[in-house]
Amino acid sequence: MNMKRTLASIALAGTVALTAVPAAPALADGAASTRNIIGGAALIGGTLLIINHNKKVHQKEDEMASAQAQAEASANNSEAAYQSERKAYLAQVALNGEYKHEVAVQHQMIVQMRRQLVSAQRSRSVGSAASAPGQPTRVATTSYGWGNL
Amino acid sequence: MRTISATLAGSFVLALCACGGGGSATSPEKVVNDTTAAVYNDDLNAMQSHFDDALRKQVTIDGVATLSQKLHSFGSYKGVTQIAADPNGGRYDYNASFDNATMTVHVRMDADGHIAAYRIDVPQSVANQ
Repeated sequence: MNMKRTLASIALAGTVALTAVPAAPALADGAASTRNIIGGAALIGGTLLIINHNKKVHQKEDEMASAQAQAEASANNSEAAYQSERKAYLAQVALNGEYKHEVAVQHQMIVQMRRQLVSAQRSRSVGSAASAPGQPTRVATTSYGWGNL
Repeated sequence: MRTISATLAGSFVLALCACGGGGSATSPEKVVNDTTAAVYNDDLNAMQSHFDDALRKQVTIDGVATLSQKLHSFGSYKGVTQIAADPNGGRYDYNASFDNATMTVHVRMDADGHIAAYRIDVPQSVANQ
């Protein structure tokens, strides 16, 4: 950046000097003409040098901006990817919670059905012991007596 | 008139004989009832009076006393009710009622109306005692 300013200052000073110097009369001698040609060439060369330098600087700046933009894009992508992953994780956590709840409900249902089964078995055994009306009670017996039927 | 009266009297006598004979031939309920009561009362002689000769030899005093004791654990004896009959095979089944239980009595009758086999199903809760 300093180099750029220095060259610009030199070029500006050269331009001002040329402007400030009164135009040489047309009837100048050969030495003056040669001197004028050399000064003009130097001025053009300096200008081209400055332009070339500026072009390189701009190119460099463009590259840096592009790299920065790419880095930002990459960072943005990473952030987006992170957010997406986090969202998926949270969804999975919520799903796991639902699964846990479902398992708990099913376990509760199993426990309830077991209780009903035990209750039904108890009532059935009680019913058989009390003998339902109209049905004879079957009791294990031992045959006593004499002779063969 | 005499002929008609004699005919009616003869028919009446025949009907009475048929009814009495048919009853004893198809249902030996009284014999079984008397025999069960004899077992309950531990009356060996009364019981054996209804058995045929072969069955009479199988009876022991201890056997009758043991069965009588078991039957007494069900309360008083009430009587028997026929639940199945096979006159051709001489097989009959009865329910013997007591105060606290009803037991099945199985009998096989011979051609003379004597008991050829007598068995009673006693609940195991009492039979094992």
